[in-house]
Amino acid sequence: MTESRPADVPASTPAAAAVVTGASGWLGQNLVRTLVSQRDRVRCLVPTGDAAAPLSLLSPSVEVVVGDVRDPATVDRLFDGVGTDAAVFHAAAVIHPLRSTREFFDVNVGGTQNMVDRARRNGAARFVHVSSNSPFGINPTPDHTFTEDSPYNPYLGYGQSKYEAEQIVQKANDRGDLATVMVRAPWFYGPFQPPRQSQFFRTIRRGRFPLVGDGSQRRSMAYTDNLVQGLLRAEVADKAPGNAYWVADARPYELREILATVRRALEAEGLPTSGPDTVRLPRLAARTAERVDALVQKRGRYVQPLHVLGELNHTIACDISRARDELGYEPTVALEEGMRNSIRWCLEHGEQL
Amino acid sequence: MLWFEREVVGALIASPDQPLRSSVEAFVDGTLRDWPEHLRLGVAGESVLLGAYVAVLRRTGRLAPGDREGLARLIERWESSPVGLLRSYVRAMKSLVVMAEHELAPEAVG
Amino acid sequence: MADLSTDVLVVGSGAGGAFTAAALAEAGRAVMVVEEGPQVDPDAHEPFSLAEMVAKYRHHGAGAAIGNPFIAYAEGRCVGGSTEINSGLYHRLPDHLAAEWQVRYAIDEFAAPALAAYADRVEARLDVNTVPGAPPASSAALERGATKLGWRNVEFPRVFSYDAQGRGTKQTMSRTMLPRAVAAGATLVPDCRVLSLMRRGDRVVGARCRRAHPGGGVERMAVHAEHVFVCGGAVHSPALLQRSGIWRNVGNGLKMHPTIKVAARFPHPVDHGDVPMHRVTEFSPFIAIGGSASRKGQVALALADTGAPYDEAMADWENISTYYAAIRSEGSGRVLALRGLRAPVVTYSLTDSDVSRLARGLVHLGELLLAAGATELHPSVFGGRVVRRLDEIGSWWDQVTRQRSSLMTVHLTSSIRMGEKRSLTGADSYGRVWGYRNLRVNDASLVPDAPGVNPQAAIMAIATRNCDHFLTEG
Repeated sequence: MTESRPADVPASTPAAAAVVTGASGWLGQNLVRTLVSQRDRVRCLVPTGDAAAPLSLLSPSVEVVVGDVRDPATVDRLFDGVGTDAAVFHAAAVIHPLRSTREFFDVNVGGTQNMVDRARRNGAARFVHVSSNSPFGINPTPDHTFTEDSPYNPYLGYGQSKYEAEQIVQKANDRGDLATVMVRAPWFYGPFQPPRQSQFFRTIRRGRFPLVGDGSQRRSMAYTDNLVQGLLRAEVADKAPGNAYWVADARPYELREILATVRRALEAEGLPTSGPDTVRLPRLAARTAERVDALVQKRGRYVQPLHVLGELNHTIACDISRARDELGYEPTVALEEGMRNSIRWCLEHGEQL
Repeated sequence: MLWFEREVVGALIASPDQPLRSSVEAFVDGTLRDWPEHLRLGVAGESVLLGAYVAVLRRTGRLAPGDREGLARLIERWESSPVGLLRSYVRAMKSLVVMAEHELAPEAVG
Repeated sequence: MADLSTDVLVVGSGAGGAFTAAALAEAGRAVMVVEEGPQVDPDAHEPFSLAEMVAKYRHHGAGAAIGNPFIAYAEGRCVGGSTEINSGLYHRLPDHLAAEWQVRYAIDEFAAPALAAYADRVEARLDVNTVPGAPPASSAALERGATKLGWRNVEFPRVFSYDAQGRGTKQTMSRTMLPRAVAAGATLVPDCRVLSLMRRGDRVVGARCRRAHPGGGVERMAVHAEHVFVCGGAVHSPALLQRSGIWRNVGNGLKMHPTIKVAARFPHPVDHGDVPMHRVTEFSPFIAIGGSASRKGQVALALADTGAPYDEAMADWENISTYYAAIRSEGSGRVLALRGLRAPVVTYSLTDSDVSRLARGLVHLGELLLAAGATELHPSVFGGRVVRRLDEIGSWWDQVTRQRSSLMTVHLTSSIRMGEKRSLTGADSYGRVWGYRNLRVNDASLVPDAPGVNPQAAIMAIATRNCDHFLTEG
């Protein structure tokens, strides 16, 4: 990964120690691998013993704590002996709950509060909070892009929980408890993707991925390397504390462009595609899915395909200018290359696409 | 107070002290009378059903009549029943008894 | 049937009704206050005792909002209303909430400086004080734990008046505003329940009442009035309006402060007379932490909640005090007066985010109490673990479920919201019920959302403001 940056973004030196939650997750795995090449100590929180093994093997600088981010005693252990100047990267969150929508709030809010509280008590150089587009809902018009001044408009339970998490993080900064930065990441892609993403590739490969409307809806996406770069910049940039930044690929992509690009990437990686380029779905179908998704979630349940289908109708696009200006962030990978990397990673890890 | 409610209260009061037991019973009786009707009806309905059930248990010999401890154990099992209404019945009765028993006994404030 | 007449009829004598009666009587209006409950000597019963519940509380203290789960609540039913049974804690409505509500509900003249002026007037009439000298041990524990963890906490003042010996008396309505109203010429009629309001077109012309005589016997009364102020609280004001055929935005949107509790055992005796006055504000606006009444009965109830045997702990009850975590709830409820039923049906629906917030509140509360030196924590959760160490608290997250949590609230508001946005409110910016020229509400029902703090200060300030407006507009 190249680390290019525009001239003269004032920044400090990175902390010698890093604390990472969600370390065994999709984003976390990418982040930890970058951190081990730079830091003396990378203290990781993972939920289970199974998740611990691959991380501990990465480097002697990795220390793994197994436990629940909601649990005060676990987070005490996470910070134990890590010093008062560690950089904290809080990526632990639930995006697709297994049992009920309550998990959104327990983990995304409860876990965040726990981390913020302990980081304050222990001392930390900076608290980098991984946030999302969901507290902002969908763009009001098809050509709109979210900026850091866009108003909150949380979308369903996940959005509500990430919104509350942002409030907790921001308050900690505003009260003088902690220097915090929030990095808002949209739909991301890249190596270490979970099994559900393989389904994404498989569906597109067979031409069965639904394209809602004419597919001109724009979606910002963030390749994992770009996102990791954004997080690391947020850690050190002088202007960052107290702020939030949209971090994504250089520009949003139209949904039809995403599908076409992924098909090209699959072909380029030696996976012939079949079927039509896409399956056209009227907007009504997606709107219905969205409504049913909202009803289902209101009852505390969560049906992932419904949620995904509901979102396909919409534009969720953000502007990364401020991240460029103040963090010195410059995305280095774009969609086709990023998708090819992801596909290659899947194949190397025995995923059947 | 329905006959079964009287039995439940009797089974829930820990103390053997008769005057205290009577006071608690009187308090529960008076309170149930004063409850919102719909809640009172709900509890009464459950008391009728549970009373019938216990009567059957007694008739078939699975619970000895007058076996207050046996009834208490049964009530304890109901407290962890998967049926929400059953749990809340026990909790409601218990809360009345517990509050009254401890407050009506002498030395209620430290 | 008795037939009475008055200029202003005030229904209910709690925080809202008493301030209304005093303000209008002192302005020279002929005021009659009818109060459903009895007049009870404020010194007759120990606070939070069983005897007090029987004498001063509605339903002997047993109210419950139906939902998943039920949420227990209590209301005062006596001269002075809930002010006779509350903790006396006093906290002005936070400015940011007034600002939010002003916008959301389009409430005229509701900005912070205006309300502050009314709060000043309330505080000029009631003695508001923090505890002179050291706070009681049960309260000090909150401060101690919070300080140790670096959590923000504050001592709330209370409407308590202190004599030279430092003995405190709670400034309830029956001790303060009601005597002043009567001294200014108001008539107070206790044991008198308003059955329904008499309407004629867009005016209310009076109320049909039933009055109980102390010796026994019941008398029907009709009170004819030029103006009616309904101040029966967030449950009974909407119930009365509904019984009188007034339904629009009446009884919906009921809000409360759902709470979950812990009985904490300390290695030293704690007091049991006063509700703690310290509150931990670290997690505001979502969660507030404080203490509850902890007489022997309440301690026993709290210990019984886990369903596990508690004899050993109960033997040590003098070292045990109960505490709560209260949440700002996204959910809401309803009051429904059903024909033929004396008591309205109250429902409340918690969201999943509410349940999660309650679990989080419990975990924070547990950590706080352990930091304060508690050796044993009994959560109000059936099957909940009795915790002795911090590393045991994590289990509470999954143990707090709707089915197993024992929840309560002490505050009820928002069932007849005020404001110009008619789609959201049942009364205008000054409490006048939409569609009626001379019917007003002036109690907790008007407060548009749960305030996150004890509501009596907000209720009193708003009631004073609304009375001012009434007097100027004639």
